[in-house]
Amino acid sequence: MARGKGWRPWQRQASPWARRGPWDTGTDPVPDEGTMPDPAPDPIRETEDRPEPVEGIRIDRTDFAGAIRANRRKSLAICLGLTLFGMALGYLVGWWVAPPYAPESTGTLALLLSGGGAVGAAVMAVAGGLWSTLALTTGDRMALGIAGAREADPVADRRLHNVVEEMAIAAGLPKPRVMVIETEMPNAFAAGLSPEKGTIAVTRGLLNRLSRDELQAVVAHETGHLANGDSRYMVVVSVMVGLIVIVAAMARRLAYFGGGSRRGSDRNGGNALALVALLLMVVAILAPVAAQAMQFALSRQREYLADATAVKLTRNPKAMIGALMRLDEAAAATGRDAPTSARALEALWIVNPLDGPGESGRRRRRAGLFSTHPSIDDRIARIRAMG
Amino acid sequence: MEIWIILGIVALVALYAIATYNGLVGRRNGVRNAFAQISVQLKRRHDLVPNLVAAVRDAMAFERETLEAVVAARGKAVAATQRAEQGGSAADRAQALAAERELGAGLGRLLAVVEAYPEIRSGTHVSELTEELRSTENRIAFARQHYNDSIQSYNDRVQMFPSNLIAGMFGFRTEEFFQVDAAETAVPTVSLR
Repeated sequence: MARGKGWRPWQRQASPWARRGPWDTGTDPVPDEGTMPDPAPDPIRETEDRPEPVEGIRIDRTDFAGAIRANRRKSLAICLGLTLFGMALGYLVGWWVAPPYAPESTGTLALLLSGGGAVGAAVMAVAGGLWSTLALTTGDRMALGIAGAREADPVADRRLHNVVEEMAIAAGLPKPRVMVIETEMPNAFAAGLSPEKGTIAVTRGLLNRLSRDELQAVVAHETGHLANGDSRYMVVVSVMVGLIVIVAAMARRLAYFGGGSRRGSDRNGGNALALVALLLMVVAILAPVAAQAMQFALSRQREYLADATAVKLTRNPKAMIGALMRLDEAAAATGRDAPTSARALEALWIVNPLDGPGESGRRRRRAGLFSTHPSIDDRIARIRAMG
Repeated sequence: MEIWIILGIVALVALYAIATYNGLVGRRNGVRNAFAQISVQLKRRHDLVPNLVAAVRDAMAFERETLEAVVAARGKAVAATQRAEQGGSAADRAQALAAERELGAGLGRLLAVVEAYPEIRSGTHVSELTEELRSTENRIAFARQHYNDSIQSYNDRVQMFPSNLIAGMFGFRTEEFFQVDAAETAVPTVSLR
C-alpha cells in the first residue's frame, strides 16, 4: 500500500551497514564469543564487550518499563476507541433501519434511546464478542497451519530449543511450543493467546542465517509478544475492524438504495433523520479506512513494544539491531515475491516479508498509515534511544 | 444515607487491602520461585560437566590443567551445594556460591579453549556439548536476571506508597539483589600455545 517515494535501492549503499557482504549460509558470520552473558544486568556496560554486528550503536537510555507502560496504554486506548467506533456505527445503522418515533413532547434522551440505535450498537458489541471468542479459540492453530509450521525436532534443532528455553527463563514463563517453517525466507512469529500457551515459529532461513546471539534476539522479540499478550489484542482488534468493514459496506448499500422502512414512516422524519442519513453516508465511507488505519497503528505499537521487551530480556541491543538489519535485507531481496502464506500472515512476522522493492523497484523508507510494521530505521532508532 | 456511604468506603478500603496483600504474597512467591529456578540450572550444569570432560579429554591433553581445574571445581560445587541444601547456614550458602563461581569461571575458560581449537570444536559430540554448556551458562545468567527482576518488582511494592502501608502491617521485608563479584564478570582469558 502506502509506498514512500524518494528512496531508491542504490541509496542503500550509503548506509553504514550496507557494506556487509552477502550471508554465507550455514555458518555464523558473527563471532560467537559473547554468548556467556554477564549475569550483571547492566546493558550499557555489557554492550561494550559483545561481538560487534553493527558499528557505532549504543543505548542512550534504558527505560524499558516506561516504554512498555506507554505502549500498553496506547494499545488499550486504540482497542477501546475501535470498539466504541464500531458501536457508534451500529447505532447509526440501527437508526437508519428503524427510525425512532419522535413526537415533539419526548426529551432528547428518550429520542436517543428509541428506534433501532441502541439495538444496533448492542448487536455490534455482541457480534464482536462472539467472533472474537471464535477467533481466539481457533486463530493461532489456523495461522500456524497456513504458515506450514511443524514441531521443531529436539535433537536436530537443539540450538533453537535451547534459545527458546533461555528466553522463557529470562521472562519467567513456561517454555512455549517451538516450531519450524521450512522456507528460505528468514522470519519468525509468535502465536498463542496467553503467555502460558504460546508457540514460537521460526523459518529455516532464519536458523541458517543468524548468529546465536541474533537468533536469541529474534526469539526474545517473539517471547515479548507472548509475554505482552499481543495476539489477544490483535485478534480483538482485527475482529472489530472486520465487523466495521462489513457493516460499513452494508450501510453504503442501504444508503444507496434508500433505507428500507424509512419511506413509510416519513411523517415524523424531521431533521434528526436527515442528519442521521448524512452522518451514515459519511461514516460508511470513512469508517473502514479509519478502522484499518487504527489497526495498523496498533500493530506498529506492538512491534516497538516487543523490541523493547526483547532488549530487556537479552540485555543485548546490538544483537537485536543486527538481526533486524539482516531480516530487513532478506525482505528487501524477496519483497513482493514472498510466498502466499507470508502474505496472508503479513502482520504476524517480526519484519514485514512484503516490505521489499515492489514492481516499481522502490522501497519505503518510513512507515505509512497502512503499514503493519514500523520501518526498520525507526525500530533501530527506538532501540538505540530506548524510552 | 450516610451509613451507606461510610460502609461503601470501608468496603473499598478492605478490597484494596486484600488485593495489595495478595499482590505482595504473589510477588514474594515469584521471588522464591525465581531463586529455585537458578538452582535447577546449576544442577543442569553439574550434570553436564562429566560428559563434556570425557568428550574433550583425549583431544586436549595439552590443556590438562584447565580440565583438572574444572573437574575439581565441579566436585567442590556439588558438595558445597549439598551442604547448603541440608544445613543451610549463611556460611554454607556463601561457600556454595563461591564454589559455583569458581566452576563457572573454569567452564568459561574451557569453552574458550574449545572454541580456539577447530579440530576439537568440529567433533559432533563436542559441538553438541558446547552448545549445551553455552545454553546452560545462558540459562543460569537469565535465571539470575529474572530473579533480580522479580526482586525489583517485589521491592517496589514493599517500598512504594501506598502498598508499603499494607506491607508494613504484615511484615513484608525487602529482598537482597543477587550480586556478582568482579572476578566472575571478567572475561575468561585464553592462552594459546
